[in-house]
Amino acid sequence: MKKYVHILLLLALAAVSCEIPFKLDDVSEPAIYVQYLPCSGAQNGIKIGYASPAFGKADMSRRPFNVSDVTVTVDGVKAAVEELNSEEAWNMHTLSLTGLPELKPGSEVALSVKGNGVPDVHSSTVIPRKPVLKSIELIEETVDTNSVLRVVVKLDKPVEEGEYYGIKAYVRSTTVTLQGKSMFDCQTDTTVIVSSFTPGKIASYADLNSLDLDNYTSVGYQNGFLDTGLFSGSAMTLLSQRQFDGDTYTFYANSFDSFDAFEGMFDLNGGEIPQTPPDFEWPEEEEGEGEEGGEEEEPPTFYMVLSFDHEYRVEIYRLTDEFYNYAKAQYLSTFNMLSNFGVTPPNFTYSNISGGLGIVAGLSVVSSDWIPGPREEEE
Amino acid sequence: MKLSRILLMLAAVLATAANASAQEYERRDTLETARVTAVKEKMRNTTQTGLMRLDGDKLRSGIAVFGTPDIIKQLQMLPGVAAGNELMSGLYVHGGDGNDNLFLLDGVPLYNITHFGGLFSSFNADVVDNLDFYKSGFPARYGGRLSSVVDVETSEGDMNEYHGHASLGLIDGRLQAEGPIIKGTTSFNVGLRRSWLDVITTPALWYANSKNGVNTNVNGAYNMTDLNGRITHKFSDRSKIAANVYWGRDKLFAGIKNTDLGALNLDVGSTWGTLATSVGWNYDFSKKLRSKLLGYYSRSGSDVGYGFEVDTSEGDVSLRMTMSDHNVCTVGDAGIKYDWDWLPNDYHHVRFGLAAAYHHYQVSRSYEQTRIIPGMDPYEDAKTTGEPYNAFEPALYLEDEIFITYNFTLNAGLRMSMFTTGKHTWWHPEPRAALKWLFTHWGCFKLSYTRMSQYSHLVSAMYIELPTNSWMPSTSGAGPMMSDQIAGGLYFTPGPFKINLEGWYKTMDNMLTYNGANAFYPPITNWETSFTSGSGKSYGLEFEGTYESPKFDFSAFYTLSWSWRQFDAYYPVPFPDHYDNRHKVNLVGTWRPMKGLSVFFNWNYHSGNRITLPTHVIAIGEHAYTDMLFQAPYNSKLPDYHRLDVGADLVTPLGKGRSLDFNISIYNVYNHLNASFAMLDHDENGEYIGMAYGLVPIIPTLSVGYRF
Repeated sequence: MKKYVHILLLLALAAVSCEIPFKLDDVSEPAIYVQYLPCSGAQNGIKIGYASPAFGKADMSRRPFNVSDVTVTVDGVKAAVEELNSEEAWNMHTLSLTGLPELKPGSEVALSVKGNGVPDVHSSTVIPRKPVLKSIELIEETVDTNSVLRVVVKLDKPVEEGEYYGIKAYVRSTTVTLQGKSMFDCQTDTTVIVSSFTPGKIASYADLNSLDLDNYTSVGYQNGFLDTGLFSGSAMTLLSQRQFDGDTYTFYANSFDSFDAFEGMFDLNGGEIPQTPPDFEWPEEEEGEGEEGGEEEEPPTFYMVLSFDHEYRVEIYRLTDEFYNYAKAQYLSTFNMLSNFGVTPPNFTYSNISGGLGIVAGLSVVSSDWIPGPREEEE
Repeated sequence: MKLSRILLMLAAVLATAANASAQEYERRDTLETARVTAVKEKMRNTTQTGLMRLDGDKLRSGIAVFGTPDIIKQLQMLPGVAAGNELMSGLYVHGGDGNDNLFLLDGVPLYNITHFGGLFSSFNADVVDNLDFYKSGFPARYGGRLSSVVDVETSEGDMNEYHGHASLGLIDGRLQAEGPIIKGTTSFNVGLRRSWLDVITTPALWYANSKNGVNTNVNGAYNMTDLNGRITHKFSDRSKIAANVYWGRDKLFAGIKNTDLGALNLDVGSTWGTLATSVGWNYDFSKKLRSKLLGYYSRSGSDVGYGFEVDTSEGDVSLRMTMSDHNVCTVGDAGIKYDWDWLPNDYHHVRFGLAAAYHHYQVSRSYEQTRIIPGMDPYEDAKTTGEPYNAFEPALYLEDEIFITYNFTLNAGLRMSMFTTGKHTWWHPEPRAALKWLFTHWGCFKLSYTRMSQYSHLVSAMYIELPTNSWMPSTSGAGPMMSDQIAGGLYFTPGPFKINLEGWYKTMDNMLTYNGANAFYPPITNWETSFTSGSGKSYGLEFEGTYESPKFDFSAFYTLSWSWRQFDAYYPVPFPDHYDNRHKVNLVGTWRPMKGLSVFFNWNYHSGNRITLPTHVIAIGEHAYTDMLFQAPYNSKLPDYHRLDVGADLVTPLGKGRSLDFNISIYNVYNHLNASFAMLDHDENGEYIGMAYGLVPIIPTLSVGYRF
């Protein structure tokens, strides 16, 4: 509803207005844009691009750096840097790191890039302490005639003010079927699907309308300007101390009026699209499964579901302040439609890069095991 | 009819009317001259800096945009004040945020002072007796807001005779009446204002619906109403009681009804308004000790929402469904003030008193849905979000105007304010001081220092006034705002001239800026998380030159100012404020060529408002994907603003104190479309340019009034 009101207002403004071109002050310079999110427990590459000044002549074809001028150190130890896609990527240079020491809590990761005709950039971050998962409990409940699964995540200690976390959740559905040409000519088949979902809240339309952002902010893990697609990667819900009850965070796995409804209102469909988490390995496929080619197989005439199980897995991230601010700013920037018309203040792009733009922010992650969910009745 | 012929006829009417009223106005001129002199004397004699006193007559005359005089739009022309968005009743004083002005109507603080999204102010000029406008040097008796005080007093009704005034403008009609209830002791003064656009649009839509030939009716209307009432009773020369009421309401709605498949109704609407009531008792214990006790209750609120209803059936299938959504904002105050005024000797003028207000803030959103389908269980869902906040705000103050010598006067004061809500309590000592040095009989130097605190925050996601904007108390996440201001200047009144040169330096702490999802509905629960706190700084120089004579008044105002903000959470260094207008010039003139005729003009100029445009562009895949980076707040300036308004008041006496009044006002005479907002655009060479959009063209208006 609100989206349509926005559009109507903007159309009304446009219909009655008169254009007045004016000169812009040259207030920005070309800059290197860096995106590097070192994570304890995962290896992440660096993405570097060129940010051209909006108030000047754009020169998007220039290359802002040489690979030999990129330096990454962990507690003073230098890593080897290699560019993965120098040819095919246009203004998005992906760099891999080798020889990087283990990222431990407290490790300082520093990145510097010597600019090629643009200012040099530098930034650093400290890897935060890994969160400790004390327990995860799955509780089946009925809320307003809807069956929901409450997930209670307990950490080892109460969350303090100023601490930031992220949470990602996955469900693994395993279906074992018996199928074939007949009951006497069949075999078992196991299908495993892993998908991510947004940790939901039991909320009505009225709650969602209240736009309590800390409750609903969810962004793609590596959601930056150098990621093609705003919500690439599985969604991470950002958490501050306010979302915790001491050491406990509670969310719902399949709530009816949950965050997905909220996303739908704003067309933020990333959280609704099940995707394979980038830092999670697919279960090994059984031999022959998923092979392509050959003649199309006839559909089985005999089909019986033997079991259908859900398992849940949670990843808890401890975020540095800069990651939290960056991720929240990225999320908020998707609401900048009205600010483009000067009706509201814009949401700014967070940067912690001196001399340039972008983000170098550390985080650490801990993952639970797969936890069996309530078993569904066989049909 | 040709334009030249219309102008000739108009000139003839003006000349005839002016000639007829010549004698009647001789007496009024004398009074006017005396009034001007008195105001000038008062200005020089007052110790405070940054004070402007305007009386009701002055406020009622002049340019009346849409035919209704607007007090706030007159204040916008003063130096040190930025007007904000065009046509709106914004008041950004000395770098303030617009929500930090204390509006007092007969001593009652008001939260919502505008109609129709800020297009008009709520103050009906017909009933205003006088107005004190402080930009700095706030006396200790005022508190609760950071940037300015607009203290409006309504007129007492005439104790002996009945008077009144009725007028009709472009969009509203006004009615004012006053007179004795008990001759000599009790009087009333009532002012009523209502827009009348819906009187046209409602029958027009009814007619259009009856002729459209389909089963769909469209309805919609807007109206605003306000009522001011005052009853004054004199017990004696020493004791007087006055009861005041202000009620203002705006209503905007639109609806669609379709009867093709049963009933389908969609109604979207909003109502918002303010109720303020007070009873004040003035009692003079002696000529040296006076007191005023005031009790008040005020409530501002809005309800924005929609309702959707379907009731349809075809064969055995039927569906009945309702859905509604409401956003309700309320802020209410109940308070008392007890002010004392004591002249212990010739060297001291002591004012002291207390104030206590109980605040109630509530914003709620409710959603309700029902669905009835035969054969299925009825479905109902309803929920209301939002919790009330209550707060208590007491304050004590003491101020002493000390006449140190004939030439030196010091106004020293202290206000102790406290605010308690939930588990949080804040209290702040707010020192105030103003010094005046009268170095000649026509010139003086003044210097002041003030500290102000503000405990209520306006929760708004947009630059424009919306009914969904709400007020909230300070919380642990959004503490009280504070300001410190030093102001000083030279003030001269040589002959018919008044020349002021004043400067100020002001800092503001704990200011809030919205940093959430852009929406019409600001957040309710944990609203602080969508706001970032920071600080502000403003400084500048104001010049005011005025010449006043019975025939001609002319004022030139110039402001050179800087206004900065710093919000570390999203930008590490200070940046200019949205309304950082470096230069502001206002030329205001009144010419009285003939008795009964006043011709007005004002020319407004200011440096363009600041806007935020992207600083960088990131592109990936050769224009397949580009994104804008907003790195620097308010990094660009809109084109400079300028506008000329002209108008005329014509009073045609009808005898026995009656007259017919005309006001012709032309807003933006030379039709200069000033930039209201801007975006990035490309020129033909592919380079980025700013593209601003102007919205407000020339607006001529005529209002006709009858005074009795």
